[in-house]
Amino acid sequence: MARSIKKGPFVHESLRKKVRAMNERNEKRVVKTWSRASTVTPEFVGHTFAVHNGNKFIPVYVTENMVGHKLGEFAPTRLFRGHSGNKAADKKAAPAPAPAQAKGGK
Amino acid sequence: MRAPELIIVGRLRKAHGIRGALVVEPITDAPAEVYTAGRRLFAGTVEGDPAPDGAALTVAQARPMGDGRFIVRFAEIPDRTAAERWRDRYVLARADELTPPAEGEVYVHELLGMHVSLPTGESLGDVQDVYELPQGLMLDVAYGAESVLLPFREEFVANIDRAARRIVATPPEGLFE
Repeated sequence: MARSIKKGPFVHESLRKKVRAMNERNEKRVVKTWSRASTVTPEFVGHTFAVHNGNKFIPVYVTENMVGHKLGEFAPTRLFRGHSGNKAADKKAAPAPAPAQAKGGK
Repeated sequence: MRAPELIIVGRLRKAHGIRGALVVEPITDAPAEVYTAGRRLFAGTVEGDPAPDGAALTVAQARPMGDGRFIVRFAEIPDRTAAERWRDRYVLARADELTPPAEGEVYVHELLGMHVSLPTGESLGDVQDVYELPQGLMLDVAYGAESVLLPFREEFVANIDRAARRIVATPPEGLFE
């Protein structure tokens, strides 16, 4: 059953406080959290969270398209190394581009 | 003379039909370019190493299945009985016959062992693993006795020098501590 709209999305209170404090100071630093169930809200965008996956902290850089999802969705508890393991394969990568700056907003 | 470098382009999964076709799981960014009639590939072992006999496989016919996999018929595999013996083996291609990485790109396997440092020159550690996560690739960097994950994003990876095998990283404050 879906969560009541009256309550709003769940965000762990200490996490919300930390993000608000950082936004007020215009500061960007990694926030360690175990709260995988916290929902990504628009005020999280641009911050990096180290989300615990039961073993280690997975850094999650929050972009606009992550809003509404839970932090835990971006920190899988089973890490996938690719189909070829560590062997040489024809798979190329470039650093993922930075998201375009959102227009408008406050 | 040094043998040409062979790199994995796919894995043979199971026989398909009675004419020796195989279902191939592509492990390449350009499957349509690799699985095309006339392309010469090389047999690999189930571990992904080149087969000791260096057997070549010529693609006779290939078509996509629609789920990312391909149905491929090789000239050297005449029937289903022969195709069954190839199950789970990798196929490789000569690196010089594939499209090289574009400017700013790097082979994922090349990232392993690269040295990561800060723009100031301060050393952080070597890349010991690469993970594929929903939000993109993640570099596992050995840092002291532990390891730290670094997102493979423009915000945090300033420069990659393939020749010098060096990555200049700009990690967010608090990640490496």
